[in-house]
Amino acid sequence: MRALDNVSIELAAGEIHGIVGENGAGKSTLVEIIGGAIHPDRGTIELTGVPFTFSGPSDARARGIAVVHQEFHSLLHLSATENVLLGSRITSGAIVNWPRAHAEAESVFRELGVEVDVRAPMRSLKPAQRKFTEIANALYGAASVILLDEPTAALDPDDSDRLLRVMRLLAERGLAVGFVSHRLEEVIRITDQVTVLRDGHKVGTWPTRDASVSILIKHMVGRELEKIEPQTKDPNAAVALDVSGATLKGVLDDVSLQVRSGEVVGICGLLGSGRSELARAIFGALPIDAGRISVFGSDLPLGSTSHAMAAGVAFVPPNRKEDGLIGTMDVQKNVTLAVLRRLRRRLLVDRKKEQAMSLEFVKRLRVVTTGIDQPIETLSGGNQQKVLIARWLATEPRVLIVDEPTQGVDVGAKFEIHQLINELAEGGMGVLLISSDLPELLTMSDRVLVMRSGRLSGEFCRGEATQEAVISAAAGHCLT
Amino acid sequence: MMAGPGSKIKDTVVRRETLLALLLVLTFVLVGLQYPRFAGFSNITNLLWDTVPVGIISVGMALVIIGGGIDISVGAIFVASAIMAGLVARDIGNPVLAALTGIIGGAVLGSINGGLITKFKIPPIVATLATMSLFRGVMTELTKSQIIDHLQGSFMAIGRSKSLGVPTPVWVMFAVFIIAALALRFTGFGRVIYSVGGNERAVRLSGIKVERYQALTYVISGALAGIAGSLAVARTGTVTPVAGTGLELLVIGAVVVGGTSIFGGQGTILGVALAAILLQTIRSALVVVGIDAAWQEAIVGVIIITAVSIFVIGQRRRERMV
Amino acid sequence: MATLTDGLKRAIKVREVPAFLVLVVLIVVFGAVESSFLSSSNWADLGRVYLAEIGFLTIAAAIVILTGGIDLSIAAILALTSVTVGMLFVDLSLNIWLAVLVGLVVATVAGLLNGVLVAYVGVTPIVATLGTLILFRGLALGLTGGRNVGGFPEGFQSVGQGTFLGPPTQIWILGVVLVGTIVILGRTVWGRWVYALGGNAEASRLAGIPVRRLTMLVYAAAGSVSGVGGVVAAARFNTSRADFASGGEFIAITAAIIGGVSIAGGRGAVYGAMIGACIIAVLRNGLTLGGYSGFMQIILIGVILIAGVLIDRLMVKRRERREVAQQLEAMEATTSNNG
Repeated sequence: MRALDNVSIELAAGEIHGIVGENGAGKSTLVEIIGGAIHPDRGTIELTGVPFTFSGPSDARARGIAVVHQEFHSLLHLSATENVLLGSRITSGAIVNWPRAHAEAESVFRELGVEVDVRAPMRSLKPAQRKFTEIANALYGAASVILLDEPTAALDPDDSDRLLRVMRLLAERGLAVGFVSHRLEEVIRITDQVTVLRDGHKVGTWPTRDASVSILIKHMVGRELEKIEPQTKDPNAAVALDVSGATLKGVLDDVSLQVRSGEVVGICGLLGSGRSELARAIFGALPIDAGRISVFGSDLPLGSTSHAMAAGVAFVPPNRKEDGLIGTMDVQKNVTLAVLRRLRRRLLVDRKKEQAMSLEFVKRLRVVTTGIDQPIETLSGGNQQKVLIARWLATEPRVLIVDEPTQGVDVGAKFEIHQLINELAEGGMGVLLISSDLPELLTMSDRVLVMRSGRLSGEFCRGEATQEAVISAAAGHCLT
Repeated sequence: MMAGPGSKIKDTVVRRETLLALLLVLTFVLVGLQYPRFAGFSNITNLLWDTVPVGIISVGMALVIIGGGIDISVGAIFVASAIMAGLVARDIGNPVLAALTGIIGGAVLGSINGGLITKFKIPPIVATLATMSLFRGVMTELTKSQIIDHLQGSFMAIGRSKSLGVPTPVWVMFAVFIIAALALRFTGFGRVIYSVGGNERAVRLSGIKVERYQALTYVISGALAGIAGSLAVARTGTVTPVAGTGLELLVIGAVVVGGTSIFGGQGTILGVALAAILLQTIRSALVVVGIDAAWQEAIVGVIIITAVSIFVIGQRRRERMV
Repeated sequence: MATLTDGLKRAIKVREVPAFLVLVVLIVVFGAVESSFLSSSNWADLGRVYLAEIGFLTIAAAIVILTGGIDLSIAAILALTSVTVGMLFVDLSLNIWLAVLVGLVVATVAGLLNGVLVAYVGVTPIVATLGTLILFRGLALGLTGGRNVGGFPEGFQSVGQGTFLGPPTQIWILGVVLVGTIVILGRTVWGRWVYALGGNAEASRLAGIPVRRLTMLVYAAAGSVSGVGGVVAAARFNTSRADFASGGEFIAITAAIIGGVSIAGGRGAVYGAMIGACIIAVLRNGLTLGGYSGFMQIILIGVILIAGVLIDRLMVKRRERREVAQQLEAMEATTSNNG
């Protein structure tokens, strides 16, 4: 399976080119290739007609391609000036001329039409201002191409508007601007051309005036949704998970939901919507200010993972590499990590029981591995995800929270994981499915909840939820 | 000195250094009330004189730590430089040459650290753990463990002379403080060091050769340990191979109490200087007040633990508010 | 049969094998060069003087480093324990074995202090244990006033100077502690959790492991083990001093790293660390016999440490190459399954 297959794209100077696609469509890979972080197996990159091979991101940078990533790459303790001028002679030469440095930084911000206190440390600036600083850094570094990856993801509407205006300014200055985004309405508003990627292929490139949000969505989705027969769910089944009034200042605002036994409830929302924080809060990994969480009728003490686990709550976190798997351990040890106490025989861990359990799960989930002693780092993404899920299945949960269960997972494993989730629901488990993969969400969920800015902003039942409706609810705009 | 005036960060910085300065003044006042000579000119200059080794080496350590590394071999470099300087002073007699030998010797040893860490990619703590043994061992072997003493007058003059009543080494220490503070604020080198310690990846991305700057911090740290070593042997006229053991710990203590984060990217020379002087002042105060010298260590330990704990708790509370 | 070859295959990939080979080579070389090296009286010396106390410190260092932390105060705890035993017996006339018990309690409490600072206050390990190092040495110094406190009964002294069925008594004690640690780390739940914590702290937390309590216990255990070393030291020297094991924490950390314990945490084994301690002990013993001074010894230790890290780096590169091959292997299996 290829991350990108024969994708060609042209970013023209003076234009804003939008790049859209679902998760896993290949947007990030494309960005990394253009930015010089990944070498393509085939294909060329040309700047004004001259082909180049980049030795690394700093090489691409030096040639004028700047990438503003989703995650912040700034120096938080230093001033905005130093972030803007990072890498330039003014701040790395022999003597630093501070008045000149501040003046240069200020002039860049003026050109962008934004107000930033250049002397303030980055830490004290709002997210939008930090983004502007990163853009200013690219501009100051004489970039001819600037690629912005989800720049408005964490911004509120006013700041998003400002950022879009800045992008227009950059284009007017002659840069080629690439705009990767999930916010289709913004893409339609600001771009001149738009390219849609799907499953590693380019579906097409159109002048934006010939496109609309619904047209884009149609192209983005295009494939047939999986044929998993929806089971008729018992509306009177016991309430497996009951959350009421979950509140955490600045993150969650009075969130309430219910998951019945046998039900799969999907949660979607853009970055910053609070959906992942909600999951952690339910699991007890994130203490919240107020709220009540109960599992099959019994209240859970807030902020305690041990109580949550004892009550039968399982949480499969996103970012399996950072937060899920123990990279220094093998398959077996990762599988049994959460249930070691159950595998004991007279104070010591019973090796035979441990092996038997690991083998059973490897078989049940069809994990492709050379053996349960294979180092987890050498498994493919999909199999790693299965191991992580296996860990939690071993705890025999009654409520399963999965956050991005098929991120970076190949199609085959993805299907198997979906089947697994359905089986579990059929068996009476209450499943909370958090995902930014809309087709996945729509296929799997009996109900889809939409979160935005820490609040629940919409709910759809199976059948009501179409991708268009869900996407628009997530972005907070109305689609006529 | 960190980023220029920006409201929140200034408050933090000012608060920490102010606290240290206040404690310093408080100690002098409290002890001086009972023992007036403690706060007198002569005692203060002696106190500063005693602070010189830790004070100067702390500056180098601070640079290394701000840049994201650590150097536990400074004690060994200190004694190795002292031996080198002492040997030249004893056998050749030229004081300037002796001092230069100590400084350059320290720089060379520091460059070995820099090379191991940046070229061979050995983790700083492991590399300097190894060089700690190596430097001390090699130097002692080469000199056949002799104790160097009875040094000549002209070299001793560096360590013992006074200008305006203040010993030369103290002037050197303050010069080091000022130059380092200015360099961190006003030179490209200083700004890059702060950046590297803060977010190495971002700096690499901007094309800056991170390794060169990091290696340079170790060279400077070595050179400063060399200066301290030369001054020490010039003051006492003698150096033994076991001198300076445990020095690296006091230095790290001063650096950390002075507000430098062990993770890099933050810290001020003012804070480090105040912390070094404060630690020495408290030790001296304990002696004057009559507390057994034997308990000094323990109290220094308590101070370091308390100071660091307060800083950490305060930082976490601040982070939660942001 | 299959399990034997599997076991062998696994052994060769293991980090501790090069260290063990180095140890064997050193023993052979010294044995050949110094006739007295292989004598039984020298083995006893090797065990008592060069291995025992550093061995305890190495175990303590290793378990902390495995969790991803570091403990610079272990040698200070050793000294503090010796001093406590000494002063309780000599100055307060407490029964010697009761004094030993109190000493071990003190050692454990000292470790708990480290644990609380790191796990609950949130101070980084290197800074926290640096402060406690200074504190504990200072306490030892203050309590003794710089003098030697000693003069213990025969029975106690035999712990440090006697033998039991051949090997010195303290080697038996070290052996017991070593085996106990190996069993706990390798076979118990808490031991597994130690490795998990060192491998990925956040993932461990999200897997329901009580990370803070675990950290605290690990530092407390390191303290206890160091304390045993302190008791042994007092017995061997028949006195207690505040400067026992000066610099010992660094030798212990070096031993652990030479033995394959990764400074980043999560990888390595206590028996490997002990092999490292043996290497250092053999080296020092052999060089002393050959008339080389103490400083030559620490030079060689420094060199071996650097060599050890570089070799480890090479092994990592080889492992990465093997892992890429394994990944391709597994992927091919996938496509053949799905194809």
